[in-house]
Amino acid sequence: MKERKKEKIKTSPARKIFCVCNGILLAVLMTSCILPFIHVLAVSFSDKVYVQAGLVVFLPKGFNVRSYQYLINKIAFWRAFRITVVRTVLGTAINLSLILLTAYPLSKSKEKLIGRSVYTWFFFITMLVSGGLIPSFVLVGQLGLRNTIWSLVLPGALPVFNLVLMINFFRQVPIEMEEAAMIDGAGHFKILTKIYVPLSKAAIATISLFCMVNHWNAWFDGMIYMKSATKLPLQTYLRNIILKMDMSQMTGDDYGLLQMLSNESIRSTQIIVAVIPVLCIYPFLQKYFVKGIVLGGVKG
Amino acid sequence: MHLMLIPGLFMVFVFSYIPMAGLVIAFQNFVPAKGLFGDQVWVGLGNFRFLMSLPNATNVLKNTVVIALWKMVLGIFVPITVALMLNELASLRYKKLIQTVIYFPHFLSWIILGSVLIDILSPSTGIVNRLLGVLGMEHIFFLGDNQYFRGTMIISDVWKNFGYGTIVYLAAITSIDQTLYEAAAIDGAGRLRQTWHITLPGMRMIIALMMVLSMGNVLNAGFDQIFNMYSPAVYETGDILDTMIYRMGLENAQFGAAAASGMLKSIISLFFISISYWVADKWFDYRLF
Amino acid sequence: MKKMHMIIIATLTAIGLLSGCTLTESTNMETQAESKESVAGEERTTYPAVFKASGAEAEDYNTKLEKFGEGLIQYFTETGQSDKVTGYSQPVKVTTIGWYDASDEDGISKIGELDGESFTENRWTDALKRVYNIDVSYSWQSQATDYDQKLRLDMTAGELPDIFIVRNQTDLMQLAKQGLIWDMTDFIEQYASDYDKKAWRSDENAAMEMASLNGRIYGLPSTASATDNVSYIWFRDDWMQKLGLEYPKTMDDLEKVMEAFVKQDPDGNGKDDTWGLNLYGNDLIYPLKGLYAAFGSYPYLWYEEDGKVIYGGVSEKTKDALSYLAGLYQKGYINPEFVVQDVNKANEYIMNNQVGITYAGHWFGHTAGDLHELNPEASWKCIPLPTGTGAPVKNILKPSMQGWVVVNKNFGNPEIALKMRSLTTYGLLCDDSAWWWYDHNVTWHFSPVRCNVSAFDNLITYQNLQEAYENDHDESLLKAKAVPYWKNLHGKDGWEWELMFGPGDGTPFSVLEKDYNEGNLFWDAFHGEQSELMQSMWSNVEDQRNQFYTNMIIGKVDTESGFAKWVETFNNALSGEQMTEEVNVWFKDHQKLAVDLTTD
Repeated sequence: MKERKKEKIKTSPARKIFCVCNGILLAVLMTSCILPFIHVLAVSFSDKVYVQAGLVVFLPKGFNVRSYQYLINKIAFWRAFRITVVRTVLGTAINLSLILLTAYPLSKSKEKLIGRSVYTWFFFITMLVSGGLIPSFVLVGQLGLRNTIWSLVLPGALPVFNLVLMINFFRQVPIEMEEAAMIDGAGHFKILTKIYVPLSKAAIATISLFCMVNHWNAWFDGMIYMKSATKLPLQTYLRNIILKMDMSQMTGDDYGLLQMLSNESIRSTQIIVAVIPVLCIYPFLQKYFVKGIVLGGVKG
Repeated sequence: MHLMLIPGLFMVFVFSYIPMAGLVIAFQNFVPAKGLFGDQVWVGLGNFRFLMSLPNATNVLKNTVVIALWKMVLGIFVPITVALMLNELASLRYKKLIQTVIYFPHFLSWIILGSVLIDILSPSTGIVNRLLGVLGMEHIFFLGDNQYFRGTMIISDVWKNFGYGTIVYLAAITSIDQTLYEAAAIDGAGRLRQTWHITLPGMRMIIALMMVLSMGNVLNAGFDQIFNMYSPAVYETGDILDTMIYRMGLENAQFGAAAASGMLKSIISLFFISISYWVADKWFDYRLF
Repeated sequence: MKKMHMIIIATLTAIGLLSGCTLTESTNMETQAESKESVAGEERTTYPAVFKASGAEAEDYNTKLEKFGEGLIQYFTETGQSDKVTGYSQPVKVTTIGWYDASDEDGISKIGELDGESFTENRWTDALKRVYNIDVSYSWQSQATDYDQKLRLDMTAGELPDIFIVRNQTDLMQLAKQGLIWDMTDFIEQYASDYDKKAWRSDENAAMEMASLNGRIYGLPSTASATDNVSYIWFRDDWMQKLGLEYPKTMDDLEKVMEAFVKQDPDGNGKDDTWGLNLYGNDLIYPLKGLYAAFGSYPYLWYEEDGKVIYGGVSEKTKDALSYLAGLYQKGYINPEFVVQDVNKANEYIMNNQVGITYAGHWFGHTAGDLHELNPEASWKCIPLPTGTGAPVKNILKPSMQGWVVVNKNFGNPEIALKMRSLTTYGLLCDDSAWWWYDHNVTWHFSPVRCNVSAFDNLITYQNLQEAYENDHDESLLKAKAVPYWKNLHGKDGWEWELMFGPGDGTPFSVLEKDYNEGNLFWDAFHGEQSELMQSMWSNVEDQRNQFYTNMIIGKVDTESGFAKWVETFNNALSGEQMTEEVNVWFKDHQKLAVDLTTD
């Protein structure tokens, strides 16, 4: 790798200019992506009255950690946090297993898997057509899943979008490897686990990231399926704080609420803490994207 | 192998197909108090006719399709470009850093981003307009002017989500056989030619796939985003199907009409996906199934 | 790879679980059966409580509950209403549902730390158990915005609780028509307390009417103070003094004051950045009610004029108000960015000393208080609304509802709803009302039947406070809400409370009192259920209305032709003519309520 790099640098000045411009453009892009976060971070550390006056931009004014102290003491917040962690871990595990299991057969050619088109269309249609809120609600109730963590994890057990992505990645695995394994007497399951999975690390990392983010950010299912305030996942819980209020419904006695809602630093703090875990996971999975995967050569 | 499919089939059947029975709501004048299987009044296509008869229905539909199409096109083009640019970076650490950061905006909800953007784009105090002023240009009321509203929505949405697509494309790029590049370099191909002849074709499958999949979103022009930033002044170019339905209160009180609009969207999505499937097949030689 | 994955997952799970486990909530303890006889000499058992407080304040909690139980029996016996509050020898299970908003959550967690209360087990459920032997359990609780949606889902699934609140009139009517809830008319007469009956009469039976079908009543209104809907006009008093301006009596005068604010840099920062009036775009009507009223216009309600009921949105008087606004916009007194701003954004202008005039509810005092912290010179004053027609401005009132309490037809004891109502009301009338209703400002939200007060409750509270002020700060005169409010007036936020409820002329309530005494308040006219046509059209109507009004204000169309087009759209494309017909038919023919709300 290093040799190649040195070679490139030795080439044309045009190339150098390109690299510099490339770098700058990407830097600009990157800055634009991080600025809103810096703003929210600054607000979370600022005093409420400055925020209300719109005086806080990228640096905190009236610096204090009151909002964070307040948050750390809020049992309800951590409870919701824990529920979301459990849901994300459980949900992603289920997602991944189902996706891997289902993508493998569907990535084979039509001859190998009879009725492949039928199966694929079966899954694909669900992406476009949905029964809607009410039937799903009634169904989940009938199954006795309401108010349990399973109502958050099971209905979306097989996300078709990610499934299709996986199918495509699997298709790129060279057929020779599979054939070689079959000659050695390996069954499909073994082929899947010993060959396909290790070779698709980039894809698996990507898709597990997507699944995790989906679970982490989901709020609607928590809202309709959970009965008790103590079982809400994080994003559902946060909605109460972040939503803007309908002025026409307000009464003088709601001033306590008005105080809370106008306290943007508390809102910002909750937002930051809710986002941090996913941001931390991402660098872990990063290395699978950047590392090149050597597919060349068939193992003996 | 068929056995492996069973768990997936089962889950999807239970949770996606059984509820489809509820599609009948689209043809009823649905009263919640009567219950799902209660004695609802059938109105056939009445709900659909109602939707079409709403004032601005055609305008809204036009806005929805235009905004969604632009978002789709840019939503493919931009991440590919950025993925390619990232691929050119020599420094691994820089690459990693950028990759991580560009994914950030994806995590912020539109409720927050919306108010941030309102601030940034403000004609009097917003950074963007102040910059324009420095460059000697007139201030533009991005969110209040019909001319600029759509563009603002499209660009801000692409900005928020391009990190997501870039990851997928990068994953695809890393799966390309590195020896091909070496061979091409030996043959004297410059970086640009390498990109054109190796990288892009290597991503061909994924690109086609993303295109087909995003076609399914043609009527989802971005409710969350537009809802948090629009106003009656820009309904003309900015009102989309979902925001109109939301205002009509259809989601909350009129389940029948809401189900009808959902069904309408599904039918149109199906139509568009079929077209793009055909296109992908003919031009990219790519079959989804 | 998998190993790394596993490690990450394990770490996160551990963190998550640990964070949950170390912050455990307090547990509930069971008490032993106890029965006591009441002091009033009647045979009376207090039933054993299931929830008993634990924690530092538990003693205090139990004492208060005992006092409450005794006081309730005493009060009702003395007023000859003892048979309205009888208990049940066998425990009765009642399921219910509830909603909470962010401040409720905050409040209950603070209270919970003191004595272990939670949303589902608290002083109210405890009191209901001890006094009546009722076991209240919550089927679910939701966030305030989702309540109606979840209730409707329950309706579709056929899973309604025993006693619960319905917030939406259409839902209530559906339940009534499908025979899913009890006709409460007779129960009201027999079991409702005098206080509640009076409160229900105070808005001329409007809230009751909204829950009636053919004169029979299906839900008990839970009303709040209707006076909260009135909008007042507030001025930056220090600016008025600085520029030597007189407070305006007419809208023309008001415009002159705005001109002065805009042109003469009253905040003295050398920048030409002051606006005349505060608006925000996603709601053109509610914040500016006072402005519309100045022209005799009420664009969001149906009311009576010349014997017929009309929709304020298409009245000619609204056109006058809109011309006025358009004029202000043209002259640059209104910030053109208002179209994309919401209330928080608009408040920023106030906090930045960029706006000195605003129409707002009485609770604007709290915003003024925040500004006061930033800028101690800033002070505000409230004056009677300037008029646009020369005649004194009349304010329209409409019932302010939490919802209606309904009883599931499958539940055998509908009178329990009324007993719950009476118990909650007693919480307001007893000596400890500050603890029962206003602890952390939220405890009345936790009663399953919420509040029910006179439509003029805040005005009455204000008058009560003035009584105390005038009688040498005699606190013993204070009742109900005035008690915690008095504390607020003398607490650390006293400045902002005085702005609203304090003595003197500059407060919104002094203005309200004057209006009340001079007959400048009147009620809206339409309390019937929305017809099917109205239901399908109404959000469309409001939508179109907002579009047209915005375009007229920003000058995209001129007011004359714009308004004419709006009226035409309303009458024809939106079936407005037909709807007005329907409303008038209701108005003429609606049956008198079969219930008798007189008290002796």
